[in-house]
Amino acid sequence: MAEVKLEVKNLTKRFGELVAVDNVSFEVREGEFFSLLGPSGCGKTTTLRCIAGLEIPDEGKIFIKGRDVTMLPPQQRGISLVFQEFAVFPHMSVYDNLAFGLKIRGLPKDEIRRKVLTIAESLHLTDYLGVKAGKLGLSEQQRTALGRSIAVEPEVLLLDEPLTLVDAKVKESMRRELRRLQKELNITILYVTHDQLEAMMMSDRIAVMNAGRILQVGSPMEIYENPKNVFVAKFIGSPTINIVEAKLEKEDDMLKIVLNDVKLDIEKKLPKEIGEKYAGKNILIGIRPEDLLIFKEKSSPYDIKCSVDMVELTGNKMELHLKLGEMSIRALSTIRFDIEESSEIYLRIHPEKTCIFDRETEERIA
Amino acid sequence: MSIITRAIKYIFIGFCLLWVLIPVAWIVCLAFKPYPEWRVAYFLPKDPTLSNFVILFEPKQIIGMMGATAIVDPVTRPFINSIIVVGFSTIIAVFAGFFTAYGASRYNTPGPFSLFFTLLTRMLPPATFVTPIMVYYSNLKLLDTHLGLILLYAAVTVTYGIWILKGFIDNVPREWEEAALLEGATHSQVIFKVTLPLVKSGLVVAGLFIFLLNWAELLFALVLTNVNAVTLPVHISKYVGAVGQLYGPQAALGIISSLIPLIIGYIIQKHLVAAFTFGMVR
Repeated sequence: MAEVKLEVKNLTKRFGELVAVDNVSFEVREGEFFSLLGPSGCGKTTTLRCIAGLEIPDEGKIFIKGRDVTMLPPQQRGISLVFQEFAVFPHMSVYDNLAFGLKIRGLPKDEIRRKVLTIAESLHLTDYLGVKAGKLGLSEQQRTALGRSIAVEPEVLLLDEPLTLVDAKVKESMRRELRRLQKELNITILYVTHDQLEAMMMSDRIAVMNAGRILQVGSPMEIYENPKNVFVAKFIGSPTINIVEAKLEKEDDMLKIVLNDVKLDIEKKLPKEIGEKYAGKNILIGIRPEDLLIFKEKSSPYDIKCSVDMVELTGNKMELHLKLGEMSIRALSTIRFDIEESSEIYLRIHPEKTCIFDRETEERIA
Repeated sequence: MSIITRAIKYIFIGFCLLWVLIPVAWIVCLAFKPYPEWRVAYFLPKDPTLSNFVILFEPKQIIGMMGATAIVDPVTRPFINSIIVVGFSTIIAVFAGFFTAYGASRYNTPGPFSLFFTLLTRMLPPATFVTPIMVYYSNLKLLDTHLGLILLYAAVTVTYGIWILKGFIDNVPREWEEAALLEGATHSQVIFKVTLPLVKSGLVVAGLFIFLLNWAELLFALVLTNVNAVTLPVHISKYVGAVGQLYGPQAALGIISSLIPLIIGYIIQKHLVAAFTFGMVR
């Protein structure tokens, strides 16, 4: 396994009464693209600022390459940071921006020049080198900022929502560029974002945060398929996962989920001892919209009748808003078919593809 | 309709311009009038002359014209004095103002209310503290010296530097400074390489404002200087005789005094546009 570049141990940061970061621990390995993902105000930026040295944590330690940097000033930590906004120095040319850190380190002129040109090349900035950075478009500015941060060869590159303000089309290509560059130069990146899609597309691993705590750490696929709790399940994936309430019943010594008169066999999914504990209780079932099968006719005893509330066609797929009793459910279909609003439709749920959560704690039980 | 509104607009603008420019035009015309025409109420001189200017540069003399007499030195020395005193005091006030404003803006020190007290010297009428200062200066041997005036001017006007520049610095996002810190810059490098260049327009406005105030300052200079450090406004006031004023040479002096501000204004005019949008650096 690759070397650990950044280690955060039991980090806590309070602002008065507010606990912005609550006992957060994680590690980032060399060459890894690690994302801190969470809604705004969840403490991800504060965590980043503590790592950068712009905030002093109240508790906990931060190690970069095994060295305790918790109390070191920012410039001695071997890190760079790209902000969401105001990332480039507007009064300097792109060249001077890229050369900023190198000049401060007192590198010889020709070496600076060589490095700047290489970076400008790989970020497609060669044509802009003489332009004042403040006059550039946002995407060029962000690329310049990125280049400036990479130029000093930081141990860890911190990115604080660098693509949020870039417009949608450019964003997509910049995501790919960033990922390519990261792999090419083997940069260790800690990426902060509230955009789950961005995190899913680029990261090797993601830490999902809420209310100052890390809820789950894992690869994008792990988190998508095996969310630890309802929050993570809901935060990842678009359209959002369906969470429906149902009763767990024991019938003929078999565990079944009761949903609108339909009984689903869940024996394979739910380990016996857990099933025993929850038998007779209400539970939450999470199921991704794309995992629902839709039928126009009832074709098996497991099909659940729903009414169609709204249909959204996005071109290559259809998003159906369904009503199951009081609950609303979203389903995604890649096959297009004619369906009228407020008509009836049948859903089939595969128990293997569901996640089951405790109704009280909202933690995953199976 | 549009022609009428337009006409009204231009008449209004014309009126405003006249209001401002007539005194200036009067001074310019007066400067070229010979003595007999000084008190006559028409603009253009009938018999234009340069004698009012020439007289200013002549060695120490008693100027006397029909009852209006004055003993005056040539204008060269006060002119150079003004440039030295106002130049240095402006530079000191702007930079001291910048660093104070930086501290106040970034660290909330010494607190917003304390910053208000920097205006104290501007709340008192200068006449109230010119006498104590004269006593201090007399003890410190600073009377009639460049240094004395420079220090006083800088101290009195630094508050404008602080207040103007604080607005500009507040508008510089901290992210820029933080990014520079992370890139390895020390705090002073951050200030000199990032913050200072970003508030360049602010430095220009504050500088111009302070320069003009000090350039026209009369009271302090009148009380605290005598021979060596006399500034232009004081020099102008010397063209007053026992019986009457020497209007012609005073007008000529007025024109000479406005040369430096005019040149400075011309050089920095491109900054002024940016500057009057007050601190919008983005």
